[in-house]
Amino acid sequence: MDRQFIFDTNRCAGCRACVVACANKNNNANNNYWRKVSEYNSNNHPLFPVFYISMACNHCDTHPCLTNCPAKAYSIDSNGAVIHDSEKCIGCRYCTWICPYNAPVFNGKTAVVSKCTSCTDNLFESGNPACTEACPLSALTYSTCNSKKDTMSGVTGNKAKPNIKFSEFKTRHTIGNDVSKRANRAFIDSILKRGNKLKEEIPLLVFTVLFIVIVAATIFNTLANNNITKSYNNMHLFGAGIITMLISFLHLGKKQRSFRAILNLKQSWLSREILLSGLFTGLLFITYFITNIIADIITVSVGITLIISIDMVYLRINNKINMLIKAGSASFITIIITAIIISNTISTAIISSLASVIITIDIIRNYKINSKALFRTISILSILACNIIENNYTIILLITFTIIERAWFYYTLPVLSTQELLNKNLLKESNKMFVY
Amino acid sequence: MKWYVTACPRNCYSSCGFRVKSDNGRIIGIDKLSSNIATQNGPCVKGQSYINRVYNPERVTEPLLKDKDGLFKEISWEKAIDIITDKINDTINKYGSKSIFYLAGSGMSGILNGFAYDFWKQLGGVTLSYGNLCWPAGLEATRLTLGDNKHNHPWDIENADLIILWGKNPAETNIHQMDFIYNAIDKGAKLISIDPRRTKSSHRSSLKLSPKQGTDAALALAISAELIKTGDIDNNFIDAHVKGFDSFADSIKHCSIEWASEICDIPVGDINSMIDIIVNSNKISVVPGYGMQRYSNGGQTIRSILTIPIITGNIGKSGTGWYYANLQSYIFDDIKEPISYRPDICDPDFRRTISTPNIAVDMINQNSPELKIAWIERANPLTQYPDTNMLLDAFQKLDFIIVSEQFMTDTAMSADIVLPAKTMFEQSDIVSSYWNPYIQIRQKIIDPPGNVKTETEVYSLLAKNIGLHNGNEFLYPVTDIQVDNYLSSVLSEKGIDYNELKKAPVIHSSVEEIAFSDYIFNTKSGKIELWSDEAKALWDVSELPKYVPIDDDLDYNFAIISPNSHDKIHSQFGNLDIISDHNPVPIVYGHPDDLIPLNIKDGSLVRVYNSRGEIYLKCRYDYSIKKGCLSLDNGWWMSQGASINMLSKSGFTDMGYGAALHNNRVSIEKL
Ligand code: SF4
Ligand code: SF4
Ligand code: SF4
Repeated sequence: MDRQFIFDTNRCAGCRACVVACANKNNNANNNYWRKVSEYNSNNHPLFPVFYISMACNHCDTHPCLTNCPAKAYSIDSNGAVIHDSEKCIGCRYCTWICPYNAPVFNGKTAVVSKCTSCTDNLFESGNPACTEACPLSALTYSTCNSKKDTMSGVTGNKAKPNIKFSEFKTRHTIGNDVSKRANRAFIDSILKRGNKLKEEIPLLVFTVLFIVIVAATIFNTLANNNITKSYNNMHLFGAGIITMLISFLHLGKKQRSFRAILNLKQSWLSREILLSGLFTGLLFITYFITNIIADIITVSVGITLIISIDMVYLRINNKINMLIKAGSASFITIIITAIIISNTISTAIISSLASVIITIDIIRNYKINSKALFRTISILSILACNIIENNYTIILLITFTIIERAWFYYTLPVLSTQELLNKNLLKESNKMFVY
Repeated sequence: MKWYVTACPRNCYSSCGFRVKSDNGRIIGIDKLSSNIATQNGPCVKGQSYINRVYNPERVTEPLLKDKDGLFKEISWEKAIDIITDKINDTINKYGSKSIFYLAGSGMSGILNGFAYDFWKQLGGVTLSYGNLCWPAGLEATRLTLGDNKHNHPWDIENADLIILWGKNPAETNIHQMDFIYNAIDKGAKLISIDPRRTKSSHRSSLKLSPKQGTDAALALAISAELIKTGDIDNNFIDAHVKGFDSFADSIKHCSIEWASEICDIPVGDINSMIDIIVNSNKISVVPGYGMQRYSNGGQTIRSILTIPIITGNIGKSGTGWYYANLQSYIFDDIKEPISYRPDICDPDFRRTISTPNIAVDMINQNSPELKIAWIERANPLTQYPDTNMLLDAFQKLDFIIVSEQFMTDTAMSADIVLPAKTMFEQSDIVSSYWNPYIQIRQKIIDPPGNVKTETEVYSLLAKNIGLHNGNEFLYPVTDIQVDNYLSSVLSEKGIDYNELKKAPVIHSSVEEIAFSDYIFNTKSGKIELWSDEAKALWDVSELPKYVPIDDDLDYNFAIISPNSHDKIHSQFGNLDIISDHNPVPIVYGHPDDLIPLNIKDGSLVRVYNSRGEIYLKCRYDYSIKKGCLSLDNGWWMSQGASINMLSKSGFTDMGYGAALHNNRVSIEKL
C-alpha cells in the first residue's frame, strides 16, 4: 500500500473520537462500528501498564479475509486496500472469525458484513481517512511509511502482515502494588472470561454434529455391509444430510446468494466444505440405488474429506489450536463413533480409552476456564459406558457425547480480535508475575 | 456543500473550534479547525457525536404538555405559550413575580442567553439562585491568592519540564490539553499524577499518588514545608512578589512528610520521590482539577496546593504556572466568576436567595412569596444537583414546571411543559472558554428541525402574549439578521470583526500569553497573598492555607467519587446511541480487596446507599483505585439506571458558595 495507518499507543487515550468519526462518514453506527478501541489491562492492575489500541482493517498483505471468503466478496483496489463488496457477501460471517482484528463486522439488519474501506471515497480536503482526521491526540495517522514497520508481538506482528506502523507503549509504570492473592486470581478469571467465543453459533454446532454422525454411520454401513441387519439405510442418511444442509442454508445472511458459497474452491476451506457436504449428500442418494463397492468407497472417501474440511475451516480461524488433541475435533469424534458403532471389542476399548485420556488432558490444559468440568467427565463416562452397554441406548449416549464435546469446542474456541490478542498477552504476563 | 466554522459551547475546558460540513441544509461532516491552536486536532468524541445529537430520533422537537396521567402530549406553540402565559399571569396576580424561580445551568454557553434576564426583569423580577455547582471554591482560592483566574496559553504547557496533574484528568475532560502534555513528555518532561484513581491521564506519569479524599491539602503543605526546610525555594521571587511567606512557613512547620503520609495514606517514599522530582525541575506547571475543591475544605485545599508553584517561583514564566481557570476570554462579562456567584450581586428587581449547594432546602423554605413556578433551561438539576430525593420533594411543592430541553432528561420528565430547545447549529452565538483563549463563534448552519424555536423567540412570543412587547414584533434578537446585528455590535465594542470570526477564532488583545508575566497581582496588597486577610474576612477561614479535615460520615464504609468521563459533559451526551453503544450502563468501580470480602464479584449487581438514597447498578473491579473509595461517573440519569446525586449531600464549600457535593460516603452490598 502507498499509505497506511500509523498508530502510537503512547498517544492514544482510548477516547473513541476515531470510532465515531468513522461512523459519521461511513454510516456504521448502531453497534456496527468498523473501528474499535481495545484496552490493555482495562481493570487497571497496578503491575501492568494500561494502554489503548484503535484498530479497524489494516489492509493486510496476506489478507486472510479475502483468501478464506467462500463467496469471493473481497478484492484489492488500486491503492492496495482490501475492499469488501456487500453485494457479493452471503453473510456467512466466516471472515469475522478469520480476521485477527475482527475488522469485518456483521450487521444483523442488512444481514451482510461490511468493513473499513480506508475511506477511498474521501470527504475531507486533506485526503485523510475520517478516523485519522479526527484523532485529537494524533495517535492515529495515515501516511506513507518507508521505514521497516514497527510491530507489537502477538498483536500486529503476526502472519497476516498487517499494513500498520505501530509504536509500543513505552512508559514503565511506577504504581505500588498491594493487590492480594485472592484479587489476583479474580483478575486472571476476568481476563479469561472476557474473550469472544463462538458459543452462540448453534446452527454450526448442529451442522457439524449431524455430519459427523452421518459420516460415521455411513462408514459403519459400508463396513458392516451384510453381516448385520441395518436399522437404517443410505436414504435415511440422505434425508438427514438434506436437513443438515437446510439448517446451514438458513443460517446464511443472504440466502438468495447462497450459490456464491462455492465460488472460492481454490482457496477457501469453507467453499470446499460446502461443496463436499452437497456432494456427499448426493452420493448417499445415489448409493441407495446403486449398491456397488466402488460407489461405497467413493462415498466414504468424500465423507471423510468432508470431515477433514470441517476441521480445516476451524483450524483457519485459529491456527494455534492443535486439532488432533482437541477433543472436539470432527475427525477425532468421527473415529471414536465409528469404532464404537462397529463394536469390535478390542478396537473400541483401545480407541475409547485413548479418547478418555485425550479429553482428560484437554480438561487439565483448560482447567482454568473449565467451570463445566462435570460435562466433560460425563462425556468420558459415556464413551467408556459404550464398551459395557451394548444396546440401542448406546447410540443415544454417543450422540449426546458428540454434542457435548462439540459444544465444548465451540464454547472454548477463541475468535481473534485485537482485544483478544491483548488479553492473551496480559494473561501471559500475569501468569509470569503472579505468585499464588 | 459548504464548510462552516463553529465552536463547541459546552461547559468544557476545551471549547473546541471545529468545522461543519452541510449539504442541502443537513449537517454531514465534522472536521478540525487548525486555526484554533488549542484544539487544532479537532473535537473530542462528544464533538464528533453532534450529528447523532442533532438528528437523534429521541430529540424533543415539539412542545409537550403533561396530561393528568403523567403522559406527554405534543401541543402547538400557540397553545404552549397560552398555557404558560395564563400560569404566569395567574401566579403573579396571586403571589407576585418572585414566586417564579428561574434556574439556568451551563448546558450551552452564549451571550444571547442573557436575554432571559431581560424578560424576567420586564416581568417584575423573579427568584434566582446564587453560588455554583462546579468550581467556585478554587476560583475564590486562586483569586484570593493570585488576584485573577488566568493562566498561560494552553500550548505553553509544552515548555514545562514537570507537569503535575493534581486531581485533573484531561485525557477525559480536556483531551486537547493531553496533546500538549504528551508533547512535553516526548520532549523529556516528567508527569506526576495525583488522583484516587489511575486515570487515563496517568498512564505516562513518572509518579502517581493517591491521597485519601479531602486530604490533598496535607500532602501539599508537607511538600511545601519540606521544600522550605531544604531551601529548595525561589527566595528572590518570594521576596519580590509574595505576601505572608514567613508566617506561612511558620504555620506549616509541623507538616512533616510522616504527618502527611499518615493523613493521606500515602507511603513516605512516594512523597519523597515527588519532592525529588520537584527539586530537580526548573519549569513546573501545576494543573489542578475541580473535583477536590467540591469538599467542605475545597478552597483551603486549592490554596494549599497553590503554595507549591508560588514558593518555587513557578508563576509568570513560560512552562510554569497554575492551570486552574483562564477567564481571560470572558470579555463580555462586567463581573466575572467567582464574584458573580455572590448572593448580593443581584439586580434589585430580582431576589437571589436560593443557594446552589442547598438548592432543595432553600426552595422548600422560600416564603413571602413561596415558589410556585420553576422555569428551567440549559440545566438538568434532577441529576446534577446534590441530594436528588430532597430536590424531588422541592419540585413536588411547585405548581408548575417549565423545562426547555433537547431530550427527555430526568428534569424534563418532571416538567408540566417541555419546550423543545435549539442545538448549537440552529442559532448563532459567541463562545468564550475557561481554558481555550479564543473568542469563537458558533454559526447558525441549519434551521431548527420540527417545531423547535430558539429561546430568544420563545421569550419574545411570551413577552408579546403577556403584553410586554412595546409594539415590537420581537423584543429580543430572533431572526438571523437581528442576531447577526446584535452579535456584531457586541463584538465590535470589543474591537472584534464578526465576519472575521466566521473564518477563524481570535484571541482578544487583552489576553496575556504568559499569565502574570508582568508580575501584577490583582490582590489587595498587589502581591501574591499566602496570607489573605480577605480570606478571613469573607469566609472566616484561616488567613493562611491550612489543612482542615473534612467531616466523614463513618456510618458508611466508603468514600465515593463522581468523576467526569470522556463521553459526557455532565449529564449531556450519555443518552445518544452513538455514545451509549460503547458505554451503556452506569458502573460503580471499587478495589477488589474491598469488594471480595463483601462477596461482590467483578460484574455483580450491587446496591449503593446512604441515609439520603440508594441506587442499584453494576459493579466492576478497579485494581488501582484507592482502597476505601468507590467511583461512579457523574452524569448518568436516574432513567439510565443510577445517578450519583441520589446519594450526594447538600452543603457549602469553605469559600466561593460552591457545592461540597463530593463529601459523600456510602455503603455497598451485593444484591
Ligand atoms: S481518536 Fe485517537 S486517541 Fe482517541 S481512541 Fe482514536 S486513536 Fe485513540
Ligand atoms: S479508514 Fe475510513 S473506513 Fe476505515 S476505519 Fe478509518 S474512517 Fe473508518
Ligand atoms: S465537549 Fe469539549 S472537548 Fe468535546 S468538542 Fe466540545 S469543547 Fe471540544
